[in-house]
Parts: sequence; structure tokens; C-alpha cells
Amino acid sequence: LEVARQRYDVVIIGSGGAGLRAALAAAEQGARPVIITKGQPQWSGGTLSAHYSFCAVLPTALPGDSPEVFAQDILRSGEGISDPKLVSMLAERAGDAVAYAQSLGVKFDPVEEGSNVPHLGWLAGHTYARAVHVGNAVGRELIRVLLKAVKKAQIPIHAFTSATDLIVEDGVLKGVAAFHIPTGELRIYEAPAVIMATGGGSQIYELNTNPMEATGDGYGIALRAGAELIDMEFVQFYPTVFVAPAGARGLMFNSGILIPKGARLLNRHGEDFWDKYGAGPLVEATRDVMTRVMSQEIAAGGGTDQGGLYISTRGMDPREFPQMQQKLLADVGVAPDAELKEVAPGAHYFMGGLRIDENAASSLPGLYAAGECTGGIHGANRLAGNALSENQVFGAIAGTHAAKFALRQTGLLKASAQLEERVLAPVRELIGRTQSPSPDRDAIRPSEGWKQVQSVMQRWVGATRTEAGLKDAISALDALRVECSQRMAARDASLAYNRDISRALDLRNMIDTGWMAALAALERKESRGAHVRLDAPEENEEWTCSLAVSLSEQGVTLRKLKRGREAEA
Amino acid sequence: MRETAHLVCEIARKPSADGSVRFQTYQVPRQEGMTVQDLLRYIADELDGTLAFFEHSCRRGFCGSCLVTVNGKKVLSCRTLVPADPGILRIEPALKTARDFWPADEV
Repeated sequence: LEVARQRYDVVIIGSGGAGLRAALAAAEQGARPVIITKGQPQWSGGTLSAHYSFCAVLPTALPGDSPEVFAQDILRSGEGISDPKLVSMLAERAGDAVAYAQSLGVKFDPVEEGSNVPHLGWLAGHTYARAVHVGNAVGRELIRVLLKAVKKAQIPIHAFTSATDLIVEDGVLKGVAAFHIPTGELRIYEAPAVIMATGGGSQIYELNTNPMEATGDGYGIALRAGAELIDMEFVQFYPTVFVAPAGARGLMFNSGILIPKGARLLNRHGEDFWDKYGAGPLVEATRDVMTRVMSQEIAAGGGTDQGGLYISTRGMDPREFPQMQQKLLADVGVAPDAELKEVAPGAHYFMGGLRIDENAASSLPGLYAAGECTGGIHGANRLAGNALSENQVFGAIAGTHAAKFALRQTGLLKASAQLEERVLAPVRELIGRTQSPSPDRDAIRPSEGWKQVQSVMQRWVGATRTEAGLKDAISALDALRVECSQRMAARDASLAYNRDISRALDLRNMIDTGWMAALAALERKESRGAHVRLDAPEENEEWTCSLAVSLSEQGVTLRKLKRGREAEA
Repeated sequence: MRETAHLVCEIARKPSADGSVRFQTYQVPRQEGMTVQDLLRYIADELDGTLAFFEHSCRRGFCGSCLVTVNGKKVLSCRTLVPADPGILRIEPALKTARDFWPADEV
């Protein structure tokens, strides 16, 4: 197979809010960016699923609110793990990000009709109301205007193009290897700077709320390239995700609205188990506390056959429930007046990711990152409403600095043929096995590999963890990695739009993402925020630090970073 | 998910964007509460590796990317249950596609 080559200043991987914003910022610096995305920008990425909020301190903020207060809220929620420098930047610049979105044409819901002052919604954990919104689809509106601006700036977007690995020679980043799904073409994008904007990885869990595309691509690619990742053990679970019926599985049930109105949690026997766990009143429980208690009750045998619990709205009037969700639930087979709904904690957001500095630069020179694929802002627990703020603020920073970096480079970009072949080898081998004249009858199918990762993560690296389970997860993922690299093949020999190949490429990243989460969770012998060790249930002051994971030819390195990077200074 | 019976599905197949469409028949074990999207995913993952099928899917019924035609009617496949007694289910793409159900890649 021939390799197609293209050259740009900056390659942006991912077309959600962070990637589109980064591309615009890079182009403004006079660089030539390209966006590559394994999906299509109008339909891909987590940003589209952001319904309500985009938090910022605006010039019209409530009296008393300030970027400092906003930063304090994020730091408190992060339980000592967030990097205060990144948090300050987010809090200080989120207002500009809102103004930028307005300049592109987003019309946030006003305080009153005719006003151009946005209404501010209040969200749990925020001291002041500071969430701007557009109906129930702020993310969709943001993507619409960003995409329009990207097209106007004539920035190329290569859809259905899966980045497979970075090309790094002697510590110098030289580009991105990719697979073009429509043609089966292997590609090398030569570029001195790359921006990772790949979103999260919650799809590695069997029960999750994320789009199918959230397979941790940026985490896996960065790990294999030698970049450092932090806080990978902190995965936010949404406590009440439907486990049944089948069509509703993965949908979120809005317990945040219904518990204050009187909804209760029951086990398989119909018993209200909440008070057994001494976690305070249910109405005051945050997502992480609910997740912890529910997981313990399921582990203690209180779960249903589907591994869920019931949320009971007995005695409540269904007309008081969020109506848009009621309609969706009815469509997928949940009776609108059903008093019991079967739910369990489901993976929702990765707090951890690529370690970045104030310029959104990773530990690998030339590699920048923004959005959910980075770590350092949300710490042990993410405050609601900050995902868009983060991807817009850091998308802009990453685009600007990646462009400046790229425009400064004058060296030879092309990597040696030998190195390029080594980087392309896993994909070439996958294609080779797929098109082999004597196919392996026992070849592992990508969809089986997906199920294995999801089951291992759900069982052993979920909302509650133990040393023994984490060790089992690591060995299971190590074994699966070897098996997939040697025996995985697609069922269809045609390379055009081959679903198995595209899922096999995702699977490499799912395995590496899960492996990092398990490794970091095993190392962190305490419980804090979203990380709960049943064999180390208390918070331990010694662990008020981030844990950084990286890979080199010598193997894996784990190191503690006191509050982000302050310990290095 | 309890298996009860088999669904007979006629699925539109198209080798390329302007290729001619033919229908291929599959027998799919009916699972309680399955959506049309679950059914297409089952065929692609378990029955036929040559079926081109891609899910962007917000999985919440609002992005619109999963629109298909079921027995002549356009539906969002992620929020539409397989009918209780459908007879034969005939499923075709409702949006522009490049191969089978894979979306055309124009932006």
C-alpha cells in the first residue's frame, strides 16, 4: 500500500468544540491548519451533547462574582488535584470565550425578551449563577457557528480520517499517521505542530453516556508517542443512567431535578437502602456521593439482574418531569408514568488526560492539546457546566501557540522511512491479516475486543475499585493488547468504509486508555472525588497530587506531581 | 435482553454512492426493547462484516444523523423501537450515503 503525503503547519485531530476553535486560532496566526476527524464535524464529538450550559464570569455577572470566585469553585470541586494555573486561566478567559461565540453569531437566551444581556443559570457547585445557555442545545449552536467560521476561513476538514499515531523521531514531532476510511488509504500528515482535540474515552465502559466515538483516541495516541498524561484514574460517573430497557440503555435520567422533588433509590427487593451507608441526606448528595453509595449497594447484592437499582418516583406527578426527556424515554420504551426506572452509575467524563501548560503545550514539544482529552483542570471531580468553557478557552490557546511554534520551525520535517514504517506497522498488519489469502479462522473481531474492554473496565475499574480487581484489569488488558496486535482482522477484505477496521483502530486506543486508568487507579491508594478504592476508603493527604503516566522504550513511568506541575518548578 | 423470536429484515445494500440498490435479507434475533439502530448494529457486528454502517449518534434523538426509512417511513433509528409485529422490516438510508448506510463524507 502506497502512503499518501500531505504537509501542513498544524494538524488538528478532532472536530468538536476544541478542535474547531483551535483551527480558527491557528489560521489567525497565519499558519496553515488542517482538521482531521474520524467522523464528520456536524455530527461528531461530545460538544454537541452539551445541552444547557457554558459557564463564565461576564461583564454582566452577578454582584460579588469574579474570575477568582469562579476559580475557587473549580478548585474546591477538584479536591486538591486541579492545576491552579490552568484553572485561573479558564476562569479569567471564559468570559472572552462567550464573547467570541457571540461574535460568531450565538444568541444566548436573554434575561428578558429584547435584552442583549444573557440570562445566567445556576448550577450545583457554583457560588453564583454563571451559565449562559441557548434553549436546550448550547453545544449544537456552538458547533454550528464554529463550523461556519471554519468553512469561511477555508480551513480544510478531512472527514472519516482516523489518526492512528504520531510520528516522533528522536524526540521531535514530525507529523501524524492516519487511515482514510472511505478509501483505505494510509496517510502521513507532515507537520511540526499537532493539536490533540479528541474528546474523552467513556466508551471504554460498558455503561456510559457518551457518543460511540468517545474511545480515548487522544489518550492512546499520546501515550504511545511518549507524552505525559495525568489524573487518568479520575472518571466521572453520572449516577442515574438507564440500564434497561435495551433501547434506553446509556440515557441519563435526570435525578438532579427529581430527587429534590422526592424521588428515592431502591434496591432489587424494593428497599430504600440510602440511609444504610451514612452518606447524609439523599437530596444533598452530589454525583460522586450517589455513585459511591449506589455502587456499594450493587456490589453488596442489591442490584437487579441487569446490574441496576431502581429510582422511584412513586407519588410524584409525571407532568412535573422534564418533558423533552419524557418524550425520548417514551419513544425508547419507558412508560412515561412508570414509577420505577432501572438505573446505575455510568461513565460520563474523563477528568484526566494530556498534561498541558498555560500555552496548552504537552510534555512533547510541538504537541498541544485542548478539551476533554487534557487533564489538570477538573482534578478529582468536574464541576457541571465547564466543558464548553474549557474547550473554547484552551482550544484558542492551543491554536495560537501551536501555530506560533510551527511557524518558528525551519528544520527538516520528514522522518526517516524506517521510522515511518514502524509507526504505520500496526495498521499495515491489520490490513494484511484482513486481506490475507489464508485468513485465520479464529481471528479476533473488533466488536469482540470492544466488548472485552468494556466488560473489564465496568467490572474492575468502575465506580468502586480494589487492588485485586485493578491488577486483574491490567493483566486482562495487557493480554488483549497482544492478542489484538497479532490476531485481530476485519471480516470484509474491501478497505472502503470498512466498519471493522475503523473499530479496530478505536480499540487500540480503548485498550491503552483503560490500561492507564487501571494503572493510575492501582497506584493511588486512597479514595478522593470520583476515585473510590474500597480497600483504601479514606482520603490521604500524601495523595494531594496528580499522578503522571508516560511510556518510553524503558517501559512505563508513574510520577507524582504536587498540584499539577508546581512541584517541578 | 431476552431472546424471543427472529425478525426478518430486508436491508438496503449499495456498493457505492451512485451504485444500484439491492435488498439483502437477514434474520435477527429479536431482543426486548431494541431500537432500529440496535438492529442495524447487530447486523453489522454479528451477522455481516461487509455491511458499511457508521454511528455518530448523540444517542439522544436530536443530532439527526441516524435518520433511516423503515417500511417507507422516515425515523430517527436511535429513538425508534423495532415494532411489535412488523412482518418484514425493510430498512433503507434516508440521508445521502457513500456505501450501504455509511454517510456521504461531504461536509
